[in-house]
Amino acid sequence: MSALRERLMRLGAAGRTGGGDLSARPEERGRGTAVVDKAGIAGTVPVQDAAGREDGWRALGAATARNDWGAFLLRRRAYPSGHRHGRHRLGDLEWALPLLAPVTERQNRRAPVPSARPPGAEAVLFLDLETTGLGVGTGNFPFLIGLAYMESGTFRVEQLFIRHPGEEPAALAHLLDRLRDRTHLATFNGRAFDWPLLTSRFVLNGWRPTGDGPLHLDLLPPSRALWRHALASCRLSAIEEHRLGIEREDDIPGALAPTFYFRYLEDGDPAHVAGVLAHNERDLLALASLAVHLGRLAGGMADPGETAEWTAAELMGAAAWLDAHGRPEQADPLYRELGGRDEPGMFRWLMAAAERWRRLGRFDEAVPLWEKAAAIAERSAVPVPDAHIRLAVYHEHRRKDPAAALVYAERALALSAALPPSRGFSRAPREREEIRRRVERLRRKLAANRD
Amino acid sequence: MNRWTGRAASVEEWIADFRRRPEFMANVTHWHTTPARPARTAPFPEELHPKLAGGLGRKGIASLYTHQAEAFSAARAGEHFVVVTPTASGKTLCYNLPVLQRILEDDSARALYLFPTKALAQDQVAELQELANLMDVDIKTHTYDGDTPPEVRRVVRLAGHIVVTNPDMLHSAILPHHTKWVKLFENLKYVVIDELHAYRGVFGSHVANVIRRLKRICRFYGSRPQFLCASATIRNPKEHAQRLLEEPVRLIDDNGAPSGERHFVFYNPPLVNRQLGIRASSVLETQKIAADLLRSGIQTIVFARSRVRMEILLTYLQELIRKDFGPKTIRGYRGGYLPRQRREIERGLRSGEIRGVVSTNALELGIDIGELQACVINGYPGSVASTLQQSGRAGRRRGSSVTILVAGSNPLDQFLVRHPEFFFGLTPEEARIDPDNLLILLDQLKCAAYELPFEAGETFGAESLEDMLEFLAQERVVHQAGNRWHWMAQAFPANNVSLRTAAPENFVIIDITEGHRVIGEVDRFSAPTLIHEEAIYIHEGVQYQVEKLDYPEKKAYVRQVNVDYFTDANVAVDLKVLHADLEEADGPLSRQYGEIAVTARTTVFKKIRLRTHENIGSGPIHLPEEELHTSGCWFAFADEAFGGRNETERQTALMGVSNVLGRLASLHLMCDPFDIRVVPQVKAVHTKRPTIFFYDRYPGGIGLSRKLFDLYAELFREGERLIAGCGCENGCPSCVGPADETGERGKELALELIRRALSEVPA
Repeated sequence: MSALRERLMRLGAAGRTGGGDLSARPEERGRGTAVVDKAGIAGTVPVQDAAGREDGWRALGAATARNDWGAFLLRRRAYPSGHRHGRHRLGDLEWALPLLAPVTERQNRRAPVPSARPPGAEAVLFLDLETTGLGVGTGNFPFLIGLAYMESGTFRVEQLFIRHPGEEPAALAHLLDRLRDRTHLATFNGRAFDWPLLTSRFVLNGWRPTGDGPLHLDLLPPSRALWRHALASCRLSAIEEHRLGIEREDDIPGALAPTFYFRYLEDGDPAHVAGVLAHNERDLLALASLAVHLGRLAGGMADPGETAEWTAAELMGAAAWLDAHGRPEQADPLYRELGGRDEPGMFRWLMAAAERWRRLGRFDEAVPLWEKAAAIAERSAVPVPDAHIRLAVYHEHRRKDPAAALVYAERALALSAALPPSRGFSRAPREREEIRRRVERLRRKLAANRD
Repeated sequence: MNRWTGRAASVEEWIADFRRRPEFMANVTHWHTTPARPARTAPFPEELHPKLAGGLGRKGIASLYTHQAEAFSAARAGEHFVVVTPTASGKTLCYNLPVLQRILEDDSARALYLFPTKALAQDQVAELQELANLMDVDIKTHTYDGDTPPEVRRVVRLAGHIVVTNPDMLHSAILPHHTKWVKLFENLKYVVIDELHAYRGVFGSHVANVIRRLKRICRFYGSRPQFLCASATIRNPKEHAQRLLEEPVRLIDDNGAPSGERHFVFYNPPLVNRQLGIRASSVLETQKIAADLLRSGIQTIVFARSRVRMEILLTYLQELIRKDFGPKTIRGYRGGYLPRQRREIERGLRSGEIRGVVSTNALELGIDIGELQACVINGYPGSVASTLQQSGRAGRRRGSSVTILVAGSNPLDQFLVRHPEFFFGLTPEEARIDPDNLLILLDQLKCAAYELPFEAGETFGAESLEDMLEFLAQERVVHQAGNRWHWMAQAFPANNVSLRTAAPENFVIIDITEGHRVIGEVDRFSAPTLIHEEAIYIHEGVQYQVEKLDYPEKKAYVRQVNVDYFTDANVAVDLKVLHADLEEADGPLSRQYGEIAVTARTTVFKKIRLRTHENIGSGPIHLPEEELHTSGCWFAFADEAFGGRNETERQTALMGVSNVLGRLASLHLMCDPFDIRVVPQVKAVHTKRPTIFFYDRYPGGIGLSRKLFDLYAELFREGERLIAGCGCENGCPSCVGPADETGERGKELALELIRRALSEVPA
């Protein structure tokens, strides 16, 4: 061994191995040599005799669980339905989850019988993984499988901790067991990450995928739709803080979870992963809270006081999201509320909302929005003539009032001419030409009418 | 010959005319003619699927060449094989037939095709699809590479019968995600590896490990694919394939394809100064011959050794031919051109629209450019295999073809052009790999551990697996649990391991003459010499000057210029012995082998006038140095080898010997001259004596220096013969170097040193 090591050292191989864990823990760098010396045993000694650590685990509320596939560590927690996590009650999942049926329908279009199974409160399994790396490659190892579900009015959390890779099959078997009676998997980015990664783990442990797996209720896409323009980030922690009224205290950053697990692997001390277990449990609770929140929105149950706190961007996100999920009647009040707003950047939202009404043929709703947008354009340093053009078209073709149309068309032309040429408005010249033609046509029409 | 237009009616006529022209024939040192050879065929095998026979029939194929029939039966018998036959001998059918047959018999069967480049992969898919269409069957062939859109990738993974990809993609995208490819790996019957000879050196050593990983994953899924390979001519195809695959491999090299008459002409540019041994420029002679061919209407390919030379030749030829042809009919071709541009040139060559192409060795690989009639090679390409590959570009199944090798003035070229029998007697080079190079093995082991945990009792390469895993455990990237080692780190190791030394770190070249336009790219190792600031970068015959080299961002900003010079950069090499593993001495000559560290820094560049090639100026280059840890072999000369010569004389002698040995080394090691480097040191720190160092130009070494340690006597004797036999008076570029560089008595002193050094070397 020493000869090989010496050769590798001479070739500069040490430290190039890309063990990202070392860079994540600067405090360990100082005792680099000590780590290497100690690591001589750490890498080879099998993880602690589980029995010797049971006390440490018990202190964390966890104990060894066994099934036909072996053992793993299971930590169970139970919350009564009245428990509030942030602003929502966990018990509200009972009615909120079924309201997310349109979301699951959209996400499971490829599944064989998508709409046959609505996400009943007890049919949904919440899942959140803690893994050793990024991506869904075969070397990314999910060492903690966090599960949560409603059962007889109680919200139950089960955390499957894999003390060493040999315990993986037993933990996966437990997961399959929990999935057996449930139809939906609720996650945050689980369609792209958690479930593909688990599929890979099943294959690596000798299972072959049969059927299509669970139906997805991935809460990331709706969160993006709602808050992409409203929040600086659509990460779960940002949503919690800004919309779910949850504050995390003493929480470890999720990105450090692998580092704590690697430390645990070195000496087997459960204390290293206490923070990871707590973090994962909070993620599961936040996921449930987010599901309630989204369910309320989907059901049109956000109260007026609540929407009043929202920005126009968020109103637009929620309204468009409801439209996309076949809930236009829930969206209508949000669009109306949006029309009454007066915020910086409103032009864009007014135009979008008006466009939605126009497509429904609701010109009574669209016209006031265009008029409001046109007024904003008149005041703007970089006036966009779109609202004027819409109004010109409306008056010319709907109202058959070329005189009114001409007023708007001429204003559009003036605004368009005022657009600074150098600011990337590449469509400006062509657009100006179109407006000019419209103005001429309207003038001809008017002249013809006069004759 | 049409007396009015100067056009030849055929290559035959051009050759006959050439033979009558004394200004050319005076410089021809050898004319080798290979007579035409008829086809040898075999009927379709009885078991050949009727649909396959039908498809071939519609393609106009009624029987197989003998080597194709042999490949088919070998594959059916479950053997791994490697086919080695020349260009245009129907090599692809050797592997396509058994693969298609198997898929026709069993729709769940899968095959994986590996090509060294994306372009070759795309050619192949087109060919397979054409055949599938002719057979009227639904065989799904897909490329899977960096350009494959995500939504298509899913389809390829689940439903592709034949997945065509490259080793880099297999390494970084397929193997680390093998669980998404269950269908492929469970049903993998054949792995096709074409252009096997391209997998040599560091690249080949990595690919051998990627194949170890592939086989490991196949074992996991319970499949055991057969390897069907094809290679250009190399000395050791069977051994190379076996080394790469670590399986017994059958060699199929009995070529049944016909070929037309082929002429191979050795051409030595005339001496312009006999005393100084100076010859006319090989570039200008190449240009003269190529222009003559092109004017005669013969489709011609010109090969040049370097990118700069290629561009200079292109510039000259385009100027010369402009009045005869349009500018787009003579094109350049090399690695740095963008893919779209290269596809366009390949198409133009096939259709005949492009009459001439000047290329680097980039066109050596089996890219389909049709059958050209003539090939002019500027300077010995460095290996017999390359020479044959380049010459094979002008080779047709019917009708004659001609290759003219125009020798350069360096010792290696001069040696070959004067001893053509040596060239024709020479077997082509070996493809050498060292899959157990410690650094490569370690990197690949990490990738393998990421893909599947290792179990006690497994093997991976020649080193003790357990020791290596223990090392990785200490590096905290694997974790042992019981008798298994698991990858346990946040990193995705394949991202940090590149199969080709320079691939992921190319510099892009941005033309800022008008706006910003990317016109090409250059690999990291060539960047300091090709695109330093003020360098003249030539692209498709157009000159650009580098205005700014953004080294950290890997971008070079160039502007179009029109100047009458090109630039050439000098590299200063410093070298330090880290560890000597072997040591032997024969009297005054002692030799050692071990590990060395080489630092290279580009220091100055010269401006060289076009056409006259005179030095007209220079400038400094300020760029960071590159460090290389590799293996080396060095020769130290004791005092008695110099027989009381003074310091200057010793230096002259050492330089001369180093020049000669450096050039000849690649010939004896059967490698590319770029793979091994030589550095003389008048007083080396390690040996305290005048010393000549050789080193492998790859991190960790690829075994060349080690071989030199054993072969040294042959090399020194050949060097002695070359110096003694050279016709010049005091040294010339063809032996120890020109007198104005090595000194007035360079030849005499070098000869004296090499003879004394050999005095006690056993015969």
